[in-house]
Amino acid sequence: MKKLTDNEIQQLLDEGRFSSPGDDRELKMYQALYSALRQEPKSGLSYGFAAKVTAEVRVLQEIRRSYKVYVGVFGIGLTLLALVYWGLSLSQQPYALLLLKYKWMILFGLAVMMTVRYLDHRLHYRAIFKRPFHHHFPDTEFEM
Amino acid sequence: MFSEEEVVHKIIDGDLRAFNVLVTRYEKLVFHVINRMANDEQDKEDICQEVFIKVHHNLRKFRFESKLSTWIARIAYLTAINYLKKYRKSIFTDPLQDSDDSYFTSDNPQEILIKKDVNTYVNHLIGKMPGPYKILLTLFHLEEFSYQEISDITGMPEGTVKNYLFRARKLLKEQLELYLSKEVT
Repeated sequence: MKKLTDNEIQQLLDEGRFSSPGDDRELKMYQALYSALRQEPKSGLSYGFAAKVTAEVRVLQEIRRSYKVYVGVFGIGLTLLALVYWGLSLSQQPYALLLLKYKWMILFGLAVMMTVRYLDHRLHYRAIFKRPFHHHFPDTEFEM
Repeated sequence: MFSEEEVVHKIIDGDLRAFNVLVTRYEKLVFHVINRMANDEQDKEDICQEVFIKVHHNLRKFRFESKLSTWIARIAYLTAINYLKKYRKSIFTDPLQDSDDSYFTSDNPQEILIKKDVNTYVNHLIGKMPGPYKILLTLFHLEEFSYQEISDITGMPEGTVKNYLFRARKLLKEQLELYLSKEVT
């Protein structure tokens, strides 16, 4: 009988055409190899992995939601400030003049408050996902 | 019964229980892809977690043009590549440019111990092979993806997938032959 080449043996095994052990030494070797290749690794993910990932995604969703609220509040706040400024500039009341005089200080104070809130938000986010390599917003498109 | 479409739509609608079902179903697949690419156990778990977060984040982009498992395997593969890039591991070298025997160096006491079991020994040998060989052997033999699916996952042409698989198995067979002949004598 003609001796099978490596290529032929692999092809036949890929197609599942050798169910019983063959006599050919090469074939036996490949059968042992294929059987070993199908063995699952002994180690695995920790128990409760799915629950852990789900919990992480929940936290991520909450953070994103609060971030959207934060951006919304910031936008509304800016609009209100512009309106107040416009109103004050029309008014001739002494308190209005006083507020206008310190408008840059007030704006600076508000900007500092917003920045602190934002940094706190980012630190919270990072503390949750502190890993050796981590970037949650993938740069690769996964369309399929 | 697990319906891909139903689960995906539920997850997009914000159902985290459905996401939990998806993770439970595909955690083995993701682990198998990552397992041979990373060495550290904690890294493996972190990468798997990263993969599922990306899956959740990108699920809206899934167009049902492939099986969900193929799509998830691609994310796992790309995430593993990113990990290897980060740590400058040599996944990008073309295995065919290396000398075939260079992966399997001489025995040391640890290796002799590993050789006590064929499966453990084969896994040990795979661990020494270049990245593309490892990933293709896993996808084809452990996860039973077709050549076309593996090509979709890795972005390698189908011919390259076949060629690499053939070479990898031939190399392993030769090492196994050597090992078994030593066992007999």
